[in-house]
Amino acid sequence: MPVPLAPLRAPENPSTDLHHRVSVFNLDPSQLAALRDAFAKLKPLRDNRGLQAWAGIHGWPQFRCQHTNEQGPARFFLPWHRAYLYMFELELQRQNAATRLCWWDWPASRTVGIPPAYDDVQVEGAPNPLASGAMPENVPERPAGWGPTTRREHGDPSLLPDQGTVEGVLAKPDYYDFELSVEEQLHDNVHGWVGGDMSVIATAAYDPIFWAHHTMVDRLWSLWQSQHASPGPPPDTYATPLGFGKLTIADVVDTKRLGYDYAASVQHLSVPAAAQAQPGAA
Amino acid sequence: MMDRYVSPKLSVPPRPDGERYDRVDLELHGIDHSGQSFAVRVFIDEPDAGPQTPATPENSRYAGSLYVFGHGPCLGDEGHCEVPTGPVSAYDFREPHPLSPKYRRLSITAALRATVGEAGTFTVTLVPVANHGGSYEGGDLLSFTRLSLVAYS
Repeated sequence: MPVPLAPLRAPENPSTDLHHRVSVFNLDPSQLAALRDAFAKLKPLRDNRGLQAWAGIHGWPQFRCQHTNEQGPARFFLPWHRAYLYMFELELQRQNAATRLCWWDWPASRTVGIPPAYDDVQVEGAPNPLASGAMPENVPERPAGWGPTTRREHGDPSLLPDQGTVEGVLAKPDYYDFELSVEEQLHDNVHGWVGGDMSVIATAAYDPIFWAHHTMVDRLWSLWQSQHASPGPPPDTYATPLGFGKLTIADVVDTKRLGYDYAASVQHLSVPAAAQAQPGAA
Repeated sequence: MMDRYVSPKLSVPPRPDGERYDRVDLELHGIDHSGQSFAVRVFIDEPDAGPQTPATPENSRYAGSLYVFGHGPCLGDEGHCEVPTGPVSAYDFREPHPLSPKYRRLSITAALRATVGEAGTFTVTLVPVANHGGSYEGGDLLSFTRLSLVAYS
C-alpha cells in the first residue's frame, strides 16, 4: 500500500495571519469570553494538556523554569518563558481557536490592582475561570495554609511598577542588563506583589494571572527589540534548546515567526458578503 | 536569616583621573530564596533604617529595592530540596538545582552621589520586607553570602 503524501490530518487552525496579544484592559467581550472558555476547558484536564500539567513544568513538580541564579545573569529567562507561553497558548487555542494570551499592563493597574477580568469571582452567575486555579494534588505533604485553589494576597496597587520604572528598564542598551532588570525589578516584584500562591515559584503558574503577567514580560522583550533594533541574545546562543520540542533560542527571538505580535487593542469587523468585491467585478 | 543588615564603612576607590564613575552597583551573592518572595530595601549611610523608613524618591538615602522570587516551601520527599554540591559526573549536563542561590544587583549611583559623594565613606543598610498582603512588614527573610560594590568607568 503506497504511503500517502498528503497530511493525514488537516491543521486545526490553518490561518497564516499573525494574531495579536492585547492588553487585558482592552479585551473586547468576545476575546475575554474565548480566553475564559479555553481556561475553563483546560482546568479539569488531568493529562498533559491540562493547566495542572503546564503549571507543573514551571513549578512543582518539574521546576524547569529558567531564572537567574548564582551562576550569573540569566541567559535564558526571556527565551525560555517565551517558548513556554507559546506552547501553552497553542494548548489554549486547541480548546478555543479564538483564544489569545493577553498582557497585564502593570502601570495601568496602579489604581485598580488585579485587573477585573482576573479579579471578578463570578461571571454571569458562574465561577470566573481566571480568578484561580486548582492547587497541585500530588505532593507528599500539603503545607499548612494551602487551600484547594490558588490564593492572592496582593499589596497596595500603587506599589506596582510605574511607567517610568518600566521605561527605565526598556532603555537599558545591553541585552543581558535589560533581561536581568526585567526579571528582578519587574517580574520578581510583581510576583511578590500578587502574594499568596503567585509569590512562590512552586505554585505561581497554577494561578491563571501568571500567564498574563508573563505575557507582559514577553511583551517588554518585544518592545526592547524594536527600540534597540536587536534581537537580544547573541547568535552564539541560538542553537540552545529550550526544552520544548525542537525549539531553540533562534526559533523564539522573533515573535512573528511564532505567529504573534503585540498590540494595545485589536478590533475585527466582518464585512457582509454582499459588500465584498466579487472577482471580475468592475 | 536576618531581619536587617548593616555593612561596615565602605568606600569606592577614587578614579586616578578625578572623574566620576559611570555607575556603581551593589551586588548580593548567595541569596537564599527557599522561602517566600521578598524585597530588600537598600539605604546608603542610614544605619538605623528599618521597615518604616521612607522608601520613596524623596528620601535621597534610599537607593532602591531588590526583589527575590521565592521558591516556596519544600514540597518533596526527603532530600528533594538538598542542593547538590556539584554535578554527578563530568557527563552531568543538567540545569542547576532550582534552589541554587540567587544573585541580585542594584545601581546605587544616584543615592551615593546625593548623600556622601563618590569619595566618601558610607554604610549600606539592607532591610528585607515581604512585599505582599499590603503589609510590607519586615522579617527574617534575607540570607546571603557576599556583598560586592562594583564601580564602572
